[in-house]
Amino acid sequence: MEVPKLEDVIEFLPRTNCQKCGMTCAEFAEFLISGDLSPSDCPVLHEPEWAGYIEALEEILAPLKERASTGMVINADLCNGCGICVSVCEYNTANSESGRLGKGPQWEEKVAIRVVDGVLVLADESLCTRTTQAADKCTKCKDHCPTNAIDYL
Amino acid sequence: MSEKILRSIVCPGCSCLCDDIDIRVSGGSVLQINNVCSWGIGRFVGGKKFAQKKERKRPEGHYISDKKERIAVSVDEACAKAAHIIEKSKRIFIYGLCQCGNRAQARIYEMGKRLNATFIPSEGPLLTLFLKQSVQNGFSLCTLEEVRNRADVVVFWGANPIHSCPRLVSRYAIFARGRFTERGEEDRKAFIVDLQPTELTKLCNEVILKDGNDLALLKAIRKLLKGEKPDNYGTVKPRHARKLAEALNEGLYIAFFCGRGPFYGEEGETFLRELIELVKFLNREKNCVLLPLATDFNTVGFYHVILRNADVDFLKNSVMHDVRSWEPRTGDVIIGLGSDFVWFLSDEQKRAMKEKEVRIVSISSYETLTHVNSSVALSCAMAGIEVEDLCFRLDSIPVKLSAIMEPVFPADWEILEKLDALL
Ligand code: SF4
Ligand code: SF4
Ligand code: SF4
Ligand code: SF4
Repeated sequence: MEVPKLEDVIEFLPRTNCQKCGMTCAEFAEFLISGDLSPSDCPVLHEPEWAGYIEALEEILAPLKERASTGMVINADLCNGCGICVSVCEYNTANSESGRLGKGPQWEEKVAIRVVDGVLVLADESLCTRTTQAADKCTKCKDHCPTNAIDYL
Repeated sequence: MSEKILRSIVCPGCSCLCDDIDIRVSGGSVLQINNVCSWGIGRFVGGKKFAQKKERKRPEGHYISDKKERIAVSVDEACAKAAHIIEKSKRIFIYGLCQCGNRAQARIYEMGKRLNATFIPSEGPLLTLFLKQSVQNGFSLCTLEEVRNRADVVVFWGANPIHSCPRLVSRYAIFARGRFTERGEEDRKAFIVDLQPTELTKLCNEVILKDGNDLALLKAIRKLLKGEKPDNYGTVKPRHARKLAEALNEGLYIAFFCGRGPFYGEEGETFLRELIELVKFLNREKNCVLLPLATDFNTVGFYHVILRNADVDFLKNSVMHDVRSWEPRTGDVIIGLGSDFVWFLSDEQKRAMKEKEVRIVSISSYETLTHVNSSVALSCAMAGIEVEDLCFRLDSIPVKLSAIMEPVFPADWEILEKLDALL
């Protein structure tokens, strides 16, 4: 799964900065990535000469639908299930006895992330410490992933 | 069908043999596997090692082939044909031996020895040299749990564990916490010595050997440790070499994991001797261990069979350490055990095999290129998935493999028993 970049999104906007949406195209693109606005909120894109652009943007933004409320996106194609993120996870380390010793969490153990069927999954999003941190949010799993399979958006 | 969870199952995906795999099964099907990496999942659900989303084909029966056709036969008929081919051959080679359980390894060792066969273990370029050196010089090994509990300096030399044993670093070597390493990675210094940056570079100190001159780096480190000034660092940045030497100097428990990297060149054996000298030198004042980083799930098991039999002559006379040294001749037969050896041959060897009409007897759980092109294809169950067996982890610890699914074919050791009885 490709996580969309700001430049790719701007590319599909009219780039006229007409401000009919109340802002510039670049600012509008940021709101598209944050999920607060959708492509159809740009009135210009509804004009006939921009036909197909709303759909194209929706396609580019589709991976973001899989984003957790913590902002975490896991690229299953890159992840090899090495479990490094599981073993350094701020929540797991404090709460999983087996995890601290390097073992994978047991079946019933409550953990934020774990590896299932060879790839990382968010086991219980509400346990990820990012949900309660206002600033300086935890990025341990992302920082430690050797294949760069984790991102926050 | 009622569901159940099988707990703490061992994964026969690589030599790490992770023992924390939980599997939810229903009837004969696997529904979910927790804690297994993407390599291991391939083993459980039949995917390919480096592309687990691609299905790995299993054979549908046992086969005898001639130039024209491939005929499905019973296991007894296939064994009889294999015995006939082996008996008529002039030289017997046994290749593979690392991706099967210890019972098959012990059985083929006995059989091959009696038949005066030459053994070519698929991980021979690394392990045969290590075993020879351990017999001649000896070196200190330890368990992976000991690495987790005590190692404060870990060096991966010519090895990328993310590719050879994906969970090794999270379970034992870098991130896991232990008795004297309670803060995990913060209590350890990790180094990776390689030709180029790898996935682990972002998590470790790197020492890049642009020209692959491992020996020059080793010698420089020995000098630095003795307080002398090296005159040659090879292509390594002097500050990287100094950082590694400093860590070795300060560390209390050092673990070297050595991969195949340094053994591709001519100087592999000299490098290993020097590395063992370094380990011995460090052991005078601290603990230092050396572990060959085997990849296949039971490479170490075959070497245990040799050690169990205290068979030093066998190692000298009957083991070829690299399949690339084999020169095919008329009258040769290759018995492939759990390995797709055709992949590892040079084009010249493949051509010569055809020309000299070398026959192949393949014993495999998968429909590999070798299995398809063999004169006799004996299909076997998968150890650790369909049949129980014993195998040896990369640190030599014996581990029991369980059976979680019903086998369609007999175990490899049962096939070998039948074959052996005919020879
Ligand atoms: S309305 Fe559309 S074209 Fe105008 S600034 Fe906003 S995004 Fe750009
Ligand atoms: S962000 Fe922190 S707490 Fe959340 S899953 Fe990653 S490591 Fe765990
Ligand atoms: S997300 Fe990264 S660190 Fe986590 S299991 Fe996958 S590859 Fe390993
Ligand atoms: S690291 Fe090896 S043994 Fe562990 S789960 Fe992966 S393939 Fe299986």
